[in-house]
Amino acid sequence: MAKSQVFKKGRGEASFNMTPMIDVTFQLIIFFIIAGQIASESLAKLIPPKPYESVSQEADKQIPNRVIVNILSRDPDRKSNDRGLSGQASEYKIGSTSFDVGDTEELAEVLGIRRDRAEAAGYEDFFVEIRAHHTVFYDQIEPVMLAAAKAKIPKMSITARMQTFEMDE
Amino acid sequence: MARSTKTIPGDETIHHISPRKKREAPKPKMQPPMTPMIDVTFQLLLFFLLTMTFREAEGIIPGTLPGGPVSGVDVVDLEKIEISLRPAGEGCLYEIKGLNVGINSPAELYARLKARQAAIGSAEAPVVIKPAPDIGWEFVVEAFNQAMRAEFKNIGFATSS
Repeated sequence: MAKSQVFKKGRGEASFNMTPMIDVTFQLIIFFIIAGQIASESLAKLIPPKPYESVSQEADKQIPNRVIVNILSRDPDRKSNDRGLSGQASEYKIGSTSFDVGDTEELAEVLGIRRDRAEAAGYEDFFVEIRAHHTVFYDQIEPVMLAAAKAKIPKMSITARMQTFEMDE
Repeated sequence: MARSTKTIPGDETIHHISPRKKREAPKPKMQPPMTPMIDVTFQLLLFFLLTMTFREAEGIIPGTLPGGPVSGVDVVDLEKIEISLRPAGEGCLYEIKGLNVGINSPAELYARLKARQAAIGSAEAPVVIKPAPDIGWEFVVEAFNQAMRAEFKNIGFATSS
């Protein structure tokens, strides 16, 4: 028997077009990767100290009222097994801007600009946050403190790992 | 010969099935192509799992900068507590000025600071941390943390020069 001319194609198959969805997913992933990088720009990759019974508290999420100065080590993983090398700072970093170690003048200038900008935006309690790798020597960090004092920023806070429920011994 | 009737259990009525109905094509199954999506999802999952690093929770300990007075309070009336830090091998030796005892554990430093606070009778006494130039930052933060933990109100840093 001959097939009907009316229903010869049969019923249409329902299928989802996945291409736009995958396109959008990729767009979102790229967005989050880039946004994540921008957000973590102020926090350089380093290991801050973990004091015994740490009293450090979660910082205010507001960035305009503080400037984070990252102090990185020349040998953060102590691969050279040289205490002196891991104690040397490789650079100071504010966001993506790098400064030479001990360059108090330039650092003070930038800190002053940030302070003025924060004051103009109405933030009164502006402070500098020192975020240094745990192995770096004090004499490498001291210029940052002096630069902040020079920029007339009286307040300072230190980044430390927070107390967790695990044993910190 | 094909049957043109249908029997339903419990129903004595004879149901007729038309030849057109018998010829009707089976309904197509709705099956979206999931394979590419799953492929991509797994690729992404694997990528994020391999590249992800956990970051420990960080916080801040508020302090004052060196160079100026330790605080706005009258420091003349209160005895200053000076904590010196010097390297001892891979570790650090803490010394509280006037005690002449080497302290090598944070817990002991805390206990000594608490005892000194009780002796002075005030938490307003200025605490000055005086690290040696080649002392690791972790030990400086440790001293600072213990002073904060002992609830001292005025903690500052001395310049190494």
